[in-house]
Amino acid sequence: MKDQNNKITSELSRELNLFHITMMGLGMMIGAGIFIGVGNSISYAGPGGVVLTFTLNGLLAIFTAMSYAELSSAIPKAGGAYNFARIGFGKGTSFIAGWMEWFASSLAGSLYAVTFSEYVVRFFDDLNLLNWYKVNFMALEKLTNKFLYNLGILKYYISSPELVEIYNIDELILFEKIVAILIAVIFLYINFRGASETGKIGALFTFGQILFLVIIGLVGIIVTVIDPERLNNFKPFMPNGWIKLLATMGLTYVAFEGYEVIAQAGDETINPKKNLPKAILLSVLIVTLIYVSVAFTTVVSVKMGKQGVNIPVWQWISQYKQEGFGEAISKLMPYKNLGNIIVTLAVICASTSALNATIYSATRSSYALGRDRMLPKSFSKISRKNKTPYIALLSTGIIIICVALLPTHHVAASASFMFLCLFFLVNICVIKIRRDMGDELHYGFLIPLFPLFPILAIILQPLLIFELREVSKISWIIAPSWLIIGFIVYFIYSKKRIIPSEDEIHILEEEKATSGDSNYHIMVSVSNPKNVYNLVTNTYKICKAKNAKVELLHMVPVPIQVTLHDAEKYILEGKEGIVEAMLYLAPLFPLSTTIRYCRNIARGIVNAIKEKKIDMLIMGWHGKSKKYWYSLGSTIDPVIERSPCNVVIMKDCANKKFKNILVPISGGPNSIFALEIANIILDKKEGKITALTVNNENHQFDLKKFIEKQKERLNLSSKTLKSNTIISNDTVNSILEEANNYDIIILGSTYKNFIFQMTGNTIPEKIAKKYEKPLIMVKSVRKKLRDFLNTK
Amino acid sequence: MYFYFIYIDRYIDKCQYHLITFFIFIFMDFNTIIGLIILFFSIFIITFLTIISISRINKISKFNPSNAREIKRKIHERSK
Repeated sequence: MKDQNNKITSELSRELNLFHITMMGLGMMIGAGIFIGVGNSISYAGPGGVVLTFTLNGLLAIFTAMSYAELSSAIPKAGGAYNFARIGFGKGTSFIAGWMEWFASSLAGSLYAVTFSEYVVRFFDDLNLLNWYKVNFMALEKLTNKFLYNLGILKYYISSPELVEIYNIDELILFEKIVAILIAVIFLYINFRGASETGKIGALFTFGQILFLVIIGLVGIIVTVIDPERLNNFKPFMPNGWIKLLATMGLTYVAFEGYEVIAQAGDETINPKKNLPKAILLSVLIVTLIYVSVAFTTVVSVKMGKQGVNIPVWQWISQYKQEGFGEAISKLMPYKNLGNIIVTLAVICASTSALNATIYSATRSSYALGRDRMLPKSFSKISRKNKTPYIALLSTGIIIICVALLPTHHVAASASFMFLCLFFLVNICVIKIRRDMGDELHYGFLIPLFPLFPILAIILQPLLIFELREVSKISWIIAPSWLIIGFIVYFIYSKKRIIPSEDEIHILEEEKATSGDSNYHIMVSVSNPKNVYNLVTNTYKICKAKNAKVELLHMVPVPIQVTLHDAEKYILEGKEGIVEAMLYLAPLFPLSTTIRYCRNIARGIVNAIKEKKIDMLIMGWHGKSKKYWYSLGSTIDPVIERSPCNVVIMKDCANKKFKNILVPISGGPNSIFALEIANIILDKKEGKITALTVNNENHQFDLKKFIEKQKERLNLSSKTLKSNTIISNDTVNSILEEANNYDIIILGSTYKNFIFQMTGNTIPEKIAKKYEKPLIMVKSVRKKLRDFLNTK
Repeated sequence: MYFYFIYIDRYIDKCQYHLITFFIFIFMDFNTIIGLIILFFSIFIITFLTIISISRINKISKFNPSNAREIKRKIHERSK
């Protein structure tokens, strides 16, 4: 993606590896499907049926997952089903795919919001913390319930009159809906601010959820081995017959849709041709094994005749419907309240992270439709401040909130309906694309026994959709209505206005960066147009000394709602200054200039260093950290910690001649590197370097011996390099007092990880924050054990 | 020694009890047998397909770079 006229290269920062994208998919899947699916399914399919539901759904999911794996390995670009449909069939089908993707993700978002509210409200109600609400707002609840009852809607909420009396289920319907809407609004706002974090932090979060479910699965197996009589809970195995299995499979299919989000992460994945199909397949395998074991544990969690369960266990669980999982699992714990807390916390974590993921996934879909003018242009409008597509987000929010008012299992069924339609289309696409372009596309993975598995999925998916009418007739109104509206919108509006999008597979012709003659590579990360010139001028002093090749890099953070691929068109607004500065410098200095799109600036810089095998990174620093828990700043701190190269941070180092340089020395590798940098920027005619150390009872360092060694290494005379030892207990203030007599101070950073640094600033950071004059902070790369082993 | 044998004896009793319960559970119900067959067969197929598929990744290369422009042209035609 090189612009020959402007001499600026633009790049996408690929930050996610196999682990991250697998976790991303798993996080989306383990959102609510399993928590609400078990309780709902068991009432239709029975105890054996609930385990088979998740097993057979896993089988069906792996068929479609293979289609996704093949297509995303051949077309590893953001867009998922929308993109595949465009390549396979053209604009009409791609509109329908995007339209379905938008609605399906929004429905899933609603489902997660509703699941969150149901479990949280149940938890607080169990602890009698909602009495204030019952006392003050009972009249309103009753009025609402009466109104809903008269409309015939309430019967979907309450399974039997006994439950009304025993568990007061009817009392909190309105409250649950208010909580669901509140949580949806909170996450819509978070998405609007563009502060959502994906990838690495999300991966750790999901890992915790998986661990929780794996432990539940193992506990179920262990209690069954200890007490095999619990297997009697599986009698009768299929009380309502085998045909109900298709209905429950349809209902819980939403729990397997997360691999779709992996296919959308093509732009951000390292080695996407290899990692995308692997992550898609692995996520389905892992999630199936987890779901089957969790469904099994739910059935064997209690014994009939004990713990207040006097009816067959499957009937007891099905009384609670979507909350059946929580009720059953909490019986496994030694204390019911402890069980409730653990289950509720797990549901909160799972549903909120999945809600966040579905909101940005749905927003991306509607944004893409707006971008290609299939929906009004306003859908692709980006907020100037937050760089998020606010109209697309707002419209997604409206859908989520409206659907959240429906009973949970109708929301789940509608979401499943939509995803089944979408995956049906993808399975057709994989056959069409293989037939039309099989010999031309660069596949990283091909489905074995093609086209057996896509055809099996194409046959089974409509069957599940058909049987969904058994569990939710409303889903058969909602989903087809959305499709009909979609067709009307397409033929009346979109068909005439559609813009043929750019080449979907231009990634095939992407240029590789050419390597220069020099072996030493310096990268200068620039963000502020005002100090770019000074930064580059000082860099060139270092370049001359190192005979290095220089690359000027500007990182552009892109909110998660916009694909990195689209960022080039929309996100540069407001960045004209820095682009102009880079263009101005390009002819003056022999350097290459790059704009790189990323999700997080620090991660993007570290990735660029790794990809380009950079030897030294140079950055500017404005002098203050806006957030108190960072030493030098939210970008510089993680860059210093994680960069696998030498780092030089410059503050106020305009194009000056430095005659008096102070280098505080503690004796580590950073001190040696600091002296090296001091020697490079020193005014060669009359400049002097003073090495300073502060000794006290706790710190004794032989500076003279150290200086003698460095003089030889750096070829410095005794006149140029002097030493000064101070005895003081207040190291920071002693250095600061001494530094007032010098033009610049060069400090070595400390080797402490980010978490440790949060506990308090280290000496160099304290000095850096207080010192008003020009300053340079350096960190030399640490040799790892394997580097030493590889050295011959 | 006496107590040790008692312990072993009780343990064997318990194991037998477990095994008997397990086999009774299987052979009592026809639906259960079919269900278990479907369960294990499906899990086997999912695992097998995943392993086979992952082992096939990156071993296939039909790509001819000279065709890239032709693919672009086809996609553009469909998009118009």
